[in-house]
Amino acid sequence: MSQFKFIHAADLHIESPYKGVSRLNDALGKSLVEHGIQAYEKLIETALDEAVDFLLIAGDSFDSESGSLSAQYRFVRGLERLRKANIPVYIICGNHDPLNSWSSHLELPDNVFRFDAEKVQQFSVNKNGKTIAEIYGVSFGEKEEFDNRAQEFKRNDNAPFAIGMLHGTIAGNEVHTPYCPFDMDTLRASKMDYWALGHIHKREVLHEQHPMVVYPGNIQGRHFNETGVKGCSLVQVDHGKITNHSFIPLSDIVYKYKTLDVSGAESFADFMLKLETLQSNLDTDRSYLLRLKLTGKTNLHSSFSNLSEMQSLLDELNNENNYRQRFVFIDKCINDTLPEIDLEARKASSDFIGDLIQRFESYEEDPSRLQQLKDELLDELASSKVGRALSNANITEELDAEVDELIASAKWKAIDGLLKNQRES
Amino acid sequence: MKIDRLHIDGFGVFHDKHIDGFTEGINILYGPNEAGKSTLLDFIRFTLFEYPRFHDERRPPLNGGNHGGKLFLKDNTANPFSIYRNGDGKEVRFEYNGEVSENLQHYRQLIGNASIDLYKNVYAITLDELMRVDQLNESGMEDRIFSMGMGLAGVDFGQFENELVQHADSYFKTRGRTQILVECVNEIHKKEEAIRVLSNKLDDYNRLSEQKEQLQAELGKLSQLRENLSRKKNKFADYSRAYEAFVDYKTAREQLIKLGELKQQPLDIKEAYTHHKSSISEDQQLLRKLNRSVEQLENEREAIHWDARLANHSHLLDYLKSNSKLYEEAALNRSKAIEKRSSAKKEAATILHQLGHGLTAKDVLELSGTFELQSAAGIVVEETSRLQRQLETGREAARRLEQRLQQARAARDQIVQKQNDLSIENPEERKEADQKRVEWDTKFQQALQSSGSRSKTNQLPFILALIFLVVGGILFAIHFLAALIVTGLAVISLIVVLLSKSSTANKVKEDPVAINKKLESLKTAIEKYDQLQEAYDQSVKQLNQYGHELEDVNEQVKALEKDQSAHDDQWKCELSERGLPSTLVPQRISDFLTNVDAYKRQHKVIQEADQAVRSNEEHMHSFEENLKEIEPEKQLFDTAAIYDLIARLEANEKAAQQREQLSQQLKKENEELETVNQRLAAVKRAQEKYLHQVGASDETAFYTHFEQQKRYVEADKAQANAAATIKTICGADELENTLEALDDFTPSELASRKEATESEYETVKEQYDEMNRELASISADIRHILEPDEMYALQNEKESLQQQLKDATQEWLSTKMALKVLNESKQRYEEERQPEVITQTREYFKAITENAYEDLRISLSEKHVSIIDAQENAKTVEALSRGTREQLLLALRLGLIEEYEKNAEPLPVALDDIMVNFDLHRAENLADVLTDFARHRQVILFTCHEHTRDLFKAKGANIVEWRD
Repeated sequence: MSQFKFIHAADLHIESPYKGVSRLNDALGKSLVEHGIQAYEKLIETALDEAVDFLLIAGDSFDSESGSLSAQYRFVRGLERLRKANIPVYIICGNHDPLNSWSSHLELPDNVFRFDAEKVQQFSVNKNGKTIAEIYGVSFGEKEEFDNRAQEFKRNDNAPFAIGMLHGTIAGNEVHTPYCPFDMDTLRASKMDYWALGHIHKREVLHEQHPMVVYPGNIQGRHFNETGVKGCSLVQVDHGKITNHSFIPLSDIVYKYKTLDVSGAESFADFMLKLETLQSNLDTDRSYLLRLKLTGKTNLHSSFSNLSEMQSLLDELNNENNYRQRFVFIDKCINDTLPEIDLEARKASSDFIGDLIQRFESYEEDPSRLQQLKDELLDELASSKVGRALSNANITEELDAEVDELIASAKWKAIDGLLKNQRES
Repeated sequence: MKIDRLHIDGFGVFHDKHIDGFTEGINILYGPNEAGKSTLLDFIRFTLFEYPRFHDERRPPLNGGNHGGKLFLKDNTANPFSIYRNGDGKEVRFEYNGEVSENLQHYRQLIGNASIDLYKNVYAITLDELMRVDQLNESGMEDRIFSMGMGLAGVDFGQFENELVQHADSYFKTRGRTQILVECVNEIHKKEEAIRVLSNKLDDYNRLSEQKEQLQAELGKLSQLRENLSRKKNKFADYSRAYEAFVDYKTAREQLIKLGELKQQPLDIKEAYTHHKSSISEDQQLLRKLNRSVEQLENEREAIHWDARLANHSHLLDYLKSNSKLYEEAALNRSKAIEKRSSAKKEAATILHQLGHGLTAKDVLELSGTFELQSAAGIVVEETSRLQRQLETGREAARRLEQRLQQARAARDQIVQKQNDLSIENPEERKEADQKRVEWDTKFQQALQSSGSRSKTNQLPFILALIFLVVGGILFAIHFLAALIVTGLAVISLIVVLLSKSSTANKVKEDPVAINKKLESLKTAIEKYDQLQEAYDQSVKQLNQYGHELEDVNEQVKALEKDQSAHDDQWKCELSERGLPSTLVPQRISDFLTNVDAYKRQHKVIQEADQAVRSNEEHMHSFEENLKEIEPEKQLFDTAAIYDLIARLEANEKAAQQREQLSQQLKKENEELETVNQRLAAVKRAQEKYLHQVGASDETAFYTHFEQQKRYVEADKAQANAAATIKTICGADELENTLEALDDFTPSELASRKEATESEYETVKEQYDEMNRELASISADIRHILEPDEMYALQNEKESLQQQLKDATQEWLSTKMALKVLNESKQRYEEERQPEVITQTREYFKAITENAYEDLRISLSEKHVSIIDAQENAKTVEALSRGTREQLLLALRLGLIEEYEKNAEPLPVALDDIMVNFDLHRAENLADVLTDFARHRQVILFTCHEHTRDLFKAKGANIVEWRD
């Protein structure tokens, strides 16, 4: 009688763009547009298929930045479908879609309950004329909220099952911006049965029981830091006890890093063979945006370093994809291979190349000098619009973390270039 | 380190080649072109360091042997070691002090950690390289000098550096506009701008949504107004349409008032009156017509010609018509019958005459049994002819028999005659002759036996009798009776035989031939007598036979004649029975009877004709009686008169009929006349009644009443019609209101009010439609804003571009870093090592050019070389002669080696025929310089020039014998 089930999803980020794909071709571009909302639609379909009693969306349904309007429109259209099936939806607003970003002209269907920002609100879910659960929640009013709203949650004594909905960062997570920070003790003190959290895109069950605390993760990865299959949580409750909690995958495009050992590859044909094997080992159910890390000792080392050569190769490969169906798009190959020259021997010789290798290594061993070198070079860009664009897009920051790759790339550029030049003469 | 000796297993042209005798100092390897100098140099390089990666550069063996070989070396402390390398580069064997060592690191130390590139760049100096230098322009030359100065002889360092710079610049260059990074940023900006434009649509959306709401509100109001106006407009339209009806209504109402009260009479009175009027006039016309018709009919009846006397006999008309033809036929038939009767009478008289025999007509007509008579005659005739034939046959037979009798008698007489001529004339003599013949025959037999001519045949009966006897005896044993018979027979035969034997034996013996002759003649005589006797007997017999036959025949003839007369008697009896004359022969009876029949027929014809004459005359008489009835005065009637009478009768009959018809018609017309007169009177009475009912004094007043009544009804109807029209147009309940409203308007006022309302309505309607269109357009715009895939595509593209920007920045940064570190290395090299190299080079150059040049100033950082000659003139490299340029490069190389070896193990220096372009003097100088240079190291000089070999030989160089 008091059995019910619900879906807990968060961070839908409907129509937020796919990031990190540098070689976007037309077909992939179109395909990504088509896939933009597919995960959300899968969520709606899952709710319908599973015939859940209600759906929770714990913030960031869409990005408040450009394009949110169409996202809101599409979001509402999905909710309409649930209305027809009499499935209520409980929504809190997150930092990306604070209450003030919702269009006042777009009407939400009457099966949708959106929580206010001022104080924690409570809605009751009824089934067959009886309350089966009480849902507590609070929205972001504006983009940036740093108060601990968790402490405002208080369970009613007579609630058959209590769910708290909150968008924010759990204490101890340094990676994410600490919007609405809270800690486990506060959560526990609220006496909720289930905490439906949002904001962290990586799926995580923070606490298994009393209360169960879940970040379901986002429903679709949007860049190479959000790799793997994404989805939502399906929760089953029987007499106030959670009897089952499972993950339902929703994303049909998956960001993925893959390491490819190309040791001994003598030609591009060898490389392609290895690539094919790798592709055939991927799950055929979904599409992939791949980044390959090439490892091993190979003659092709310098070719792999040649950016334009590699790009045209990948373009060719990617153009063969059928983006209307399942595809594997290789975004780039990170060259982590070693050349077949004996680096140690060259380093030991007292000639110019030996000297050069030693010098590169001295940079590699001294991060601060390396940073300095990089900064000095970037200073050249700083005053130009390129520099501004880089800092606007946070690329400057990203480069800080990738400085080791930069010096390694520089080293091979110099040494390979010299040695190749020498041989050609 | 120096090379001691070497062994080539298989390498290029070499196979199992051993070369030794290498020493410290200069070693000259002399050999003509194509002898394998450069192959040998490659072998040394490959074995010392490594085989090239590419197979076609490895110089595989052309004349057999395993690809590879071994170098035997000594280190600086004179310890021997060797290195073996296989041509596929996979097998390396290092031996130190005669022991195989796994420690290749040790080997690398022994060769001063040099690489094959270093060796090529520093220690191996080839003519090719020097020659190539000649073709370079100044900057290329200087680059090369610079590269050499860094120990990168094969590398165009400047070009490489330049490439890197260009690569970096293609990504970013200060104030550059077309670089990848800039373009990428421009693209991003474009996308951002496009996104901004699209996101501005959020404002558009809000604005449009507000507009939409406002419009919806206004539309609501306008819709109300429009509805009111529409109603009003419709009302005026109705009024204007109803105005005509209104006028009709008013007119009708006024007329009704004018007519006032009027007693309504039923309209059928008027109709009946009018109808009667016309019927009266019709009837009066009819009366006139009838009177005329009666008069005419009477006249017509009088005009018809009619005989009343003839009319009394009209009943005979049909009789006459149907019998006149019969009368005619009867007259004709009567005359025909008379004719027929007279001819039959004539015929009958002729036949009677023919019959003759005195027969009368009565006899003939009464004659009966003609059939029996005829059959009796037939039998008589038949029997008579048969008896006649038999009689003739009998008489003929009697004649023939008599004839034969006579012949037989003659033949008998002949035979008797012949008998008389014979020797034997009678039977007694015949008997005697026979006895005589037997006698003579016996005699002959005896004579024959006695003459010895016994024949076996005479013995045979005897033998047979004996055999029978024996058989009989045997049979006793079997059958007694048979045996008895056989034995008896045998005994009898035996006795006979014995008896005959004894008789013949008793005969006189006479001449058998004579006996035989007599016997023969006797026999002939007997024979002849016998023959004649037989013939005689036969003839007598025949005679008797014929005599009997003749008697029979004669008897038969007599019988036949008797039969004949019996028949004749019977016939005569038949005739008399019938009273016919006996003279009538049966053969003629048939004709007779035919005539009798013919007579009878004629007689009958006569009777029939008589009958016909009588009956026709009766017919004629009765017809004529009738005629006489009509015309008693007439005694004779011919056919024409008869037909004329019939015609007259017919005409009279027709006239009678016409008269009758006309009389009928007259009667009818008179009756109708009476009817019409009565009707007319009734109608006139009715008319009077109608006038009275309406209260009209006369017909004019009567009609005036109805005229007024009609006008009243019409006006009433017009009023009702108008009211109905108004109700239809303006509504069922709106009659009074409309009449009231329209009373206030003149037509022109109404038209102008109507027009004003209509135009007002049109204006509002247009406003309404316009606003509706606007609303639709706004709604479409809103929908368009809400579904912008374009926006999403742009964002994805922008993200992609940012990633590209990042990638490109990384590429730019890493290239820049490479350049930066390369530059640092280069600077340090220039600062720390190149001054020494240049000092050394300068000394060597001076020595080679015999102080023709004083100084060498090289700035590697600026890539500039100046050469100062003895007269203190500065020259560029390009200004130097070819030989001098080569000498400069050689000096640079020697200086580099000297500098390099300050920190490393000296390696053997290989020179490949480098003095080709040197003049003799400078070659001599170089020989001195090299001899000095080789004092503490091994130098191997490959040459194909004898003078070079000799030059060095004179300086005490070691000549290595290496050719077979």
